[in-house]
Amino acid sequence: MTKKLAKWSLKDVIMVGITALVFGVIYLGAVHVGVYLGVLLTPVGLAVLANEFIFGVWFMAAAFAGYVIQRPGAALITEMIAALLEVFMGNFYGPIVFVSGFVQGIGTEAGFMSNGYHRAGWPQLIIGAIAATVTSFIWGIVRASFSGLQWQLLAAIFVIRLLSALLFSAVIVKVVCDRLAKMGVLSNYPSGATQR
Amino acid sequence: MRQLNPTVKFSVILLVGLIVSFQNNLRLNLILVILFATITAVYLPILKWLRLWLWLSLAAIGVFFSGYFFLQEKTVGGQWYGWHLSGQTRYGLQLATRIYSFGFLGASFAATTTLPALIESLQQQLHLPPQFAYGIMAAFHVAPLIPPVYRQTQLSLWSRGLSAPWLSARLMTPLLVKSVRWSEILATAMISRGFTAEAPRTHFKKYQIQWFDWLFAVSLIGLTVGVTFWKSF
Repeated sequence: MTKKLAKWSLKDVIMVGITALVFGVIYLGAVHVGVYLGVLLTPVGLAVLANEFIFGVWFMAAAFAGYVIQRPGAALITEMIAALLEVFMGNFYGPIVFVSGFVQGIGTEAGFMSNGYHRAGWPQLIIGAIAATVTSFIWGIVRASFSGLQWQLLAAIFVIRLLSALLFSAVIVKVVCDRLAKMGVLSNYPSGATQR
Repeated sequence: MRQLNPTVKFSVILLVGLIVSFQNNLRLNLILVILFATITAVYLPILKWLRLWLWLSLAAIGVFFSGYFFLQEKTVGGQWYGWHLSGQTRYGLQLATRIYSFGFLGASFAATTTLPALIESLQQQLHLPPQFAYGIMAAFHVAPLIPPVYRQTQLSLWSRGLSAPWLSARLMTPLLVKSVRWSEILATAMISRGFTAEAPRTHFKKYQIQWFDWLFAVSLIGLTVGVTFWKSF
């Protein structure tokens, strides 16, 4: 494990770290929206749905890094660094967030793994979004103990999370990355090199 | 808590969180909430502590009603320390107390640990490669630059009469261009100053695992496992 990590370059680590932060900061800004929405949904008992609408934001850092760097482990490590930094930026759930980071990262990673990290495009991002939804859903059931809930509500959680993941971590990431590649910002990275 | 080895503290709290996750134990949740709410009260300023209660309560109350209204099968309730709880209330309480126990476990870690301390300790105890250690710390200190740049981009779009909803590609692009540039500049700066991952490294502060780390680990995990196997409600 440490030997594989040792092959990373400093530039990639910092890039991954800053990316994780950018998405983290934006997410923290939106956390208020999630809480208020949750309060509004509380009287009908649907507060658990509030976060689902923005759930895809959590996969964005992993999808972005995986898409840009295209190297085994990029998505997973980014998501875990993002989780670690989130703990110190004021996510009060603390170390347990690290497990969520691992679970979401491994899902997104599956997308890029699907074709052996050769080329990343729509299929990889979409597979990643779906896989991350599935893995995070399973972990969510364990962590939040939703196994006792009615299946209709669980299905609603799953569908909303999936749509959110597809929008944020596939569509927006793809659009933004392609723009960056066109501008030449990513010319030092595999995804930028193939675009030009 | 401050004196504990950060790696040990991180792992133990993570493990306790996992043990809590894999069961529905109201008693365990309550014990952990009381214990760690007390610990965080020692380390956090009172206003921050109260705000933590507020945020956790907003989440917990929402989850309580979700559990209350949408319980799968209406299980029968029972007596709990002389209180009669219906199945719905019990499930709701299990979900809600879990939010509090995660919240206070996490807050007790965050309030007593700094990122550099954890990174240093991860390097010394778990052999985290130096480029990760220093890369993460470098990235972390870029954080204060992000909100102003975000705001700036937003304002410059508005001044041109363009709207940009939160997280739109229009807003994200300039921010990510900056991130890629920042990372290149930072890495170049660090390497030009002689940063290398290969050379042997000495440490200003030595982190070791001492007897009180073992005591903390064994007693907290022992308590959690003990309560788990105590005739559960």
